[in-house]
Amino acid sequence: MTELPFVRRGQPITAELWNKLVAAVRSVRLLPGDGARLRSTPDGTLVGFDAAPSPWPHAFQVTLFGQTAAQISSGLVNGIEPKIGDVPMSGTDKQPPPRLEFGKLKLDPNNRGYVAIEITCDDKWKITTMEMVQVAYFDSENGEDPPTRSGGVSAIGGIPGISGRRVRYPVAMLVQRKSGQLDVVQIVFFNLAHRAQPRDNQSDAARHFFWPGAA
Amino acid sequence: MKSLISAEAWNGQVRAVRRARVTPGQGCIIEQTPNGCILSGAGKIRWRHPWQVSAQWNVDPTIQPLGGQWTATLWPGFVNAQDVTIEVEVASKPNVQKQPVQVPLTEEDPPLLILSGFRDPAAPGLPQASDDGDIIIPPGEGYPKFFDSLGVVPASNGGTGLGALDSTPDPTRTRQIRGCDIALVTPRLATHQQVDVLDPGTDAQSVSISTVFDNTALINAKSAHWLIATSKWEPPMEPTDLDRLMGTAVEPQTDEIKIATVWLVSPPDVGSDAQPDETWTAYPQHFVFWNLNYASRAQISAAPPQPLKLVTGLALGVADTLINGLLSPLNDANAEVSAMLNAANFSGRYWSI
Repeated sequence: MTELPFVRRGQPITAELWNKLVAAVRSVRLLPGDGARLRSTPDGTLVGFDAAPSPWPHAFQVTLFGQTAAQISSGLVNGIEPKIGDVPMSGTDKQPPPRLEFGKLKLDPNNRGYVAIEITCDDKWKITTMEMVQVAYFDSENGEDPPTRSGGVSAIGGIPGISGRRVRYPVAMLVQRKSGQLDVVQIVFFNLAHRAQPRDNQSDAARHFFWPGAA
Repeated sequence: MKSLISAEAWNGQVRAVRRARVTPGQGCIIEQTPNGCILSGAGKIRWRHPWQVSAQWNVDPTIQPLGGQWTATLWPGFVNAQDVTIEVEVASKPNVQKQPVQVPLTEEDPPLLILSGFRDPAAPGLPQASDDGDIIIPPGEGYPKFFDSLGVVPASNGGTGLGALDSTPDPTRTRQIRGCDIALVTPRLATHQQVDVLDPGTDAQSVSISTVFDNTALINAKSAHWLIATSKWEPPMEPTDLDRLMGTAVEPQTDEIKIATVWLVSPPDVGSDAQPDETWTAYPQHFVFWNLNYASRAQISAAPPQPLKLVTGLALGVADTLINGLLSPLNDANAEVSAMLNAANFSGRYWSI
């Protein structure tokens, strides 16, 4: 950067001096680089850097281990804790809290997938089992292929159920960036309550409602 | 050789120097020295909640006369665990006309929501005439009390007569304020009532009210949920019971919720007709802090009731026409009440998750 000279009282401001001032001002302009965010105001520029947000422990918090596994903080649905394998998410006296092993990461064509709770209900639509899963589509039968009929824009909202009185509710979205890095975007922060609204008394199809709190 | 420096040139340089002063924001530590300012990234930043708004001035010389525009980015929020999008104009190739594309909030390069329309919450409302012929000036909408301490002009009190448009200026409060709302839009199935005119003599009814389903918004929707910026958001109008009784009920084809208002405050002594530019400061006010779930009531209407008829065959059938005519008002009233009580209702609700 050109060093700006100080001037004495009465010294004329020549075109050369002025242009040095202009060049110096231009050289101290702030430009955002990688991970930097600038917000220009009349009284200065607010500079921020992308950094990891302060950890805030909450239910169903997803923490990645590479791109093949995740640790999920314990959470409840209708007061019941989901499992990974046969082990509750908070572990047991003999077993530590289990990790969700993805194996091969399941993503959709937009490089997005989900860590979800897969809930199975009985004929009275009460929860019988809950399992944490990693899927590309939370509303398709096998979670790997796109949904055949539902999906996309839903006419009446709610979470669409799948066959066998099941439903998957995502707790976090996984997004693979162009660099290959896998990011987690948390969706659920609290314990959940669940109710199903079946289509009729015979059908195993329903739309499902989730809200924060106990049942 | 001496050169005259215009005040405009000098002040432009002063503005540039002031803008370059560094203020530490999220994740930033600064150290001022005589030779410059040392910027360092901090290890942690404050937690950002879903839908958190960051407003910024984007310099764009092609936009005149302001030389730029205000835009906003939002921290990702979800509805029914689905991505929410913002429509942006993108050219797929160079020298090709830009096309609108829905970009998810979770995209690596987050989409910019253009804040193109602003309202003046301090300005009086539009003049209205009372039944007596008086001109009534509604008061200004107002703004959060926080801005009083910043020296923002007070909101107009309104009144009667055109004199109410003028207000006594307060020399300590000369900053202008503008507002822009950010809303979430969800397309949905909707219905409208249809009135069919019948022959009372043969049908024993003069009108029948039926329900027609509207799905054009769903068919044309480019994403499940998207965000818009508007100068003042108003919720979609749901039909009233009277509308349903009259057979004129038309449900809106979207559900919407206000996510935030971006308030922009000017420097002191700015004219009341000024437009927000880079010298203004943005203050987002949030109304939603958590991800959302959404569902529609999906209440399907009952079929219109069958009209009551009396077939006697008297007077070679002529009496039937008279009887049907007499029954017609009863059947019409029954049809109207049935249309109101059994009307379809696809209005939706959002709730935090």
